[in-house]
Amino acid sequence: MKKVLGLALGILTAIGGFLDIGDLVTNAVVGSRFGLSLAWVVVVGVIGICIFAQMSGRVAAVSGRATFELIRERLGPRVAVLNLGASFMINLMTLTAEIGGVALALQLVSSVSYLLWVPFAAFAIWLVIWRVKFSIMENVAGLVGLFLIGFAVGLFLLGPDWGELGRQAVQGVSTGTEKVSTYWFYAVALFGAAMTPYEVFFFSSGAVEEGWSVKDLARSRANVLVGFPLGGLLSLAIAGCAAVVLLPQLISVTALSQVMLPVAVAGGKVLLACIILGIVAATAGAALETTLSAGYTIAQFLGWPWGKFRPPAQAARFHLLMIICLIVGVGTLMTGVDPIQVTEISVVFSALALPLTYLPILIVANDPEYMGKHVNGQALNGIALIYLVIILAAALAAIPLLIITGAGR
Amino acid sequence: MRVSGRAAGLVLSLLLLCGCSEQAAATDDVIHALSEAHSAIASSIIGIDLYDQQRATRAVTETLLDDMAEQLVDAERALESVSIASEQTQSERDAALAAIHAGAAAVLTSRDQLQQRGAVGNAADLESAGNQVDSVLGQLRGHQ
Repeated sequence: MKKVLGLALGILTAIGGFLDIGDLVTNAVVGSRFGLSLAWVVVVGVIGICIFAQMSGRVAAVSGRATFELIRERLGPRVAVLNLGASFMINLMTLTAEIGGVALALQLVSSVSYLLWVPFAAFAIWLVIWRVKFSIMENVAGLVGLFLIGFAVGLFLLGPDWGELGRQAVQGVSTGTEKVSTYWFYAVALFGAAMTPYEVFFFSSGAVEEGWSVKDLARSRANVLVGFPLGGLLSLAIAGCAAVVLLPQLISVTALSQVMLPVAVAGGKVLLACIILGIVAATAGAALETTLSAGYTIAQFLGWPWGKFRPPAQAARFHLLMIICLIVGVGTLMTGVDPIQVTEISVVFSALALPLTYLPILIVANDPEYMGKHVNGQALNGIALIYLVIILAAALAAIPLLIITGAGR
Repeated sequence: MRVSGRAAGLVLSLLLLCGCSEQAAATDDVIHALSEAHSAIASSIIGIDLYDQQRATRAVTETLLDDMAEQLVDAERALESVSIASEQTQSERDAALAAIHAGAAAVLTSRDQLQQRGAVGNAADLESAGNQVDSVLGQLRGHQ
């Protein structure tokens, strides 16, 4: 019974933890501009994150070590530093976006400018990392993040023409009044948002934090294969709400406050309150994950003691690094840069960093020295290689599309 | 003589093409700013309507109006930097600026009313500004 509860909790946490500010904003923007015609990208992205997250979780559970330690050991410091550089910079950008997301959500509650909330949000994140147990931190953020199911409820309450939504979803490339290049720019952005690198680093380091072993492989697989796809369905619900209420009125989403309009139309203040609570939890959870990931990546690369399972005094550099990252994030936001723009740029740059993130994981997962009999099977390798081609194509297209479309203008 | 004539013709054609593409780019910029303005005004109207029906909280509505006012001011700023290549561009830009300015003023007024009185008196100004923006936008799209 305890095992079943643990499994259910893990899955629920994965659903709530899948969505972050990047998914929230990008799906709402896409829904308001392209309807559900980019739904296929969410499906492709969710399958991709499932493949690589379960792979990195398996590496951590079998070897008892986190991904970055193994990447440096297996591929050498020169290759690993490329992986580290790309992942760390994207992670820092994502962390900045997540702190901004928490602040924007708090502005929706208080109508006090998000800039005043930014330092408060960052301090709260640091305090939680410093004081709260890993499992409590992860489960509370994930479970409260489940309030985002309100988007799915909202979509049903709106009573859309399901046939029309289905038609939009299956017809694939459809730009309406938008340019084709803009369509593909958002395809890359959505893909980057679904496959954000921090998710796999956090997943594998979290497995070490929680002391996973080979016995936990089934639990890890279930968390990923059930939790992430259900999180993906919530992404589609966000896009669906925007497609039903905003697209017909030619409203394109540029602010988090606009994402609230379909929710209020569907379910009034009660649903609005649920969604805001969900957004605060999801963005705070993602801010915690990205802050920890920043510490994990550098500490694991440099061989420093790391992890919340150690008292802070025994992992002082790990904690100091996270504090510095939080300060950099706060400093960036305090310049007045728009958090939504940081989010949009961060998901596109995520796509750029994907090959450097996922190829090393694939190499380590195929090394019998670390994995023993748990190396990847042929079928999984085949799918992972197809994904590497997609990832490479997205990475190569990201910057040209960013320039051509003026960041999706 | 014939060669230099052809060369001159080619240069003239290129200059005309450049002029046309510059004008098209300017019109694109004006259309983009108007589309942003339409989006901001329409969002504000829905937001105020939801607040009146007690389906949205005051904080969410205030934040929305703040965001949309900022978007309109940004659209106005973007229009000011559009390069004027012809009288047509000038008149298009002026009409767009007037419409967006009216929208920004209406959204800011609504936001101030909400902050000071807890209610938005009349959304007619907002709707009129929205119509003005849509009308200019329709004309420009028609020309394209």
